[in-house]
Amino acid sequence: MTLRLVLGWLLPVLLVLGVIVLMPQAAGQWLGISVRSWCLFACAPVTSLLLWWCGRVR
Amino acid sequence: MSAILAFAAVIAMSIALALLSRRGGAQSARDFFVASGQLGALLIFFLSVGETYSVASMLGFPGGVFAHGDGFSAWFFGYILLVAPALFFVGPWIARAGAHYQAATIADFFGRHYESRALEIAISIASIAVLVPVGTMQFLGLKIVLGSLAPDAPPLLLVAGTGALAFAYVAVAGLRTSAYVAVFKDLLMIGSILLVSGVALANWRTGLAPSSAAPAAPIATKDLTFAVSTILVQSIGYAMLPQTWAFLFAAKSGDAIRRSQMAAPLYMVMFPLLMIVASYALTHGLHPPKPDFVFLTTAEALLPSWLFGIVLAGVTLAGLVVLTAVCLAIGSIATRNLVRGLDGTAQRRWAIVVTALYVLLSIAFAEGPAKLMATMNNIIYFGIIQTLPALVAAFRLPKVSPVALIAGIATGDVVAMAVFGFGVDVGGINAGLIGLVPNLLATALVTMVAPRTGETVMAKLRAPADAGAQSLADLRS
Repeated sequence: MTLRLVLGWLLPVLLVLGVIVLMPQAAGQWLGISVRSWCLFACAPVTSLLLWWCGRVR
Repeated sequence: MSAILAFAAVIAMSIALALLSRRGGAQSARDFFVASGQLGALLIFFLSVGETYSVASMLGFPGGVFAHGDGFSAWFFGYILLVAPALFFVGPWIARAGAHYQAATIADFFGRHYESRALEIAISIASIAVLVPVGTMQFLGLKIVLGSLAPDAPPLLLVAGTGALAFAYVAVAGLRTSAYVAVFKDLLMIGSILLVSGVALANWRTGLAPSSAAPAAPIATKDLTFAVSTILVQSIGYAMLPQTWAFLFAAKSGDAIRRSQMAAPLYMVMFPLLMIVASYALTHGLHPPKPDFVFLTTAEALLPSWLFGIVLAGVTLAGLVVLTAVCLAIGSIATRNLVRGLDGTAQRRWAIVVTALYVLLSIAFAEGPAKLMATMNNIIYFGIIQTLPALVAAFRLPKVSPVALIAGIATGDVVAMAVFGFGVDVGGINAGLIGLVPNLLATALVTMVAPRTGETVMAKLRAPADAGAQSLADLRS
């Protein structure tokens, strides 16, 4: 349970907060959207994958 | 005219779907409010995203980006993404608790688990206070949408029409209608966003400078603290919202909830697409009358009239599904927890009356100052996060009494509201998080002075967190 909690909840939290805190807002843009926002958006499929893994491992 | 016809056709289809959701004969109260806990992963997924992505997401998110630049998106996207892991882990526990106590509302659970009428009423009042501004926010969004569809029609008449539609959805078959219409709404919503952003990308001309976006500025430490603490408070607080409990109670099994939450983050593809729409408007000289109109202004500029009508219908259904869920949550709390002794038929009948009153009240509030509603929307999560210790205590801390929990919730709420209301400088930390500290202290203090005694059913609640469909069904029988 602890490992699932770390990978399924703590890791997504750290990913999201890490991007917000560590990525500079002015690191470049694509389609008018900052790189920081693209990195944040990339956290969504990663979180989905982590939850899928947690769902498989009991 | 073709926009109005297309809009009307889509709304008519949603009404037909609502009627289809009504199966069999008379519904029990629990079937009406939480579909008797029979919904599988797919419908739970659509209910979950249907209640998360409202008219505010479709209009407010690109509007915020248009007005303030994409720095605005961080806390909003961050908290909605982290709702999925929170519900993945907590959701099955809540569903299990609901099955054990035959609960249809959050107050049912706390009242029955702690055998405390006072706690049941306290949670009921807190829940209704949380739900009141949600309906008003939907009607504020619907006014924008319907104003774009028929600019010459009286706005109050249009909003009253959608209010009648929300009432009809509830009256037809309760949460089942909400789930069926949510599927249709989400397909339309994501289809609309894909269409508008796709056409925007196809028409994108490179080398254009933004016309009015806020420039990317370094984020102050205080703002960063606010963003981080708000993401934490709201992602966890979401699990304590009364309408969230309703769809968790509707789940057939813990696995259905877990599977729905595995897929939920993928639905967030809509956010970069909405941001592309806002960026298109900024760089291609579109001038919406207000920032919140940016999605609709871009859709109107890029799509033929009939397709624009379908997009408007999608946004309208986004507001209506959320309204339906909130009406059901308020109706069930009012008829099961605030008023006692009503049988199943009376609960359904009075829930429909409460729904009508709530819709009328929300329409009236939507005619008032929008700033008041925005403030109320902010304090939703300050208040609701204060019930979190009660949930933890129910599963893990047998000595905590209902009196201790009421003392904690009241103390936490007062402190959080005072910090927010008086603008106390707490270095940007979310007021809800600040309120949790005195909340926990008050709960601990009262528990030490007067611990709960006697048997509790905690072992049954805690037992198998990974309970499947069979064990939830056993608990309900």
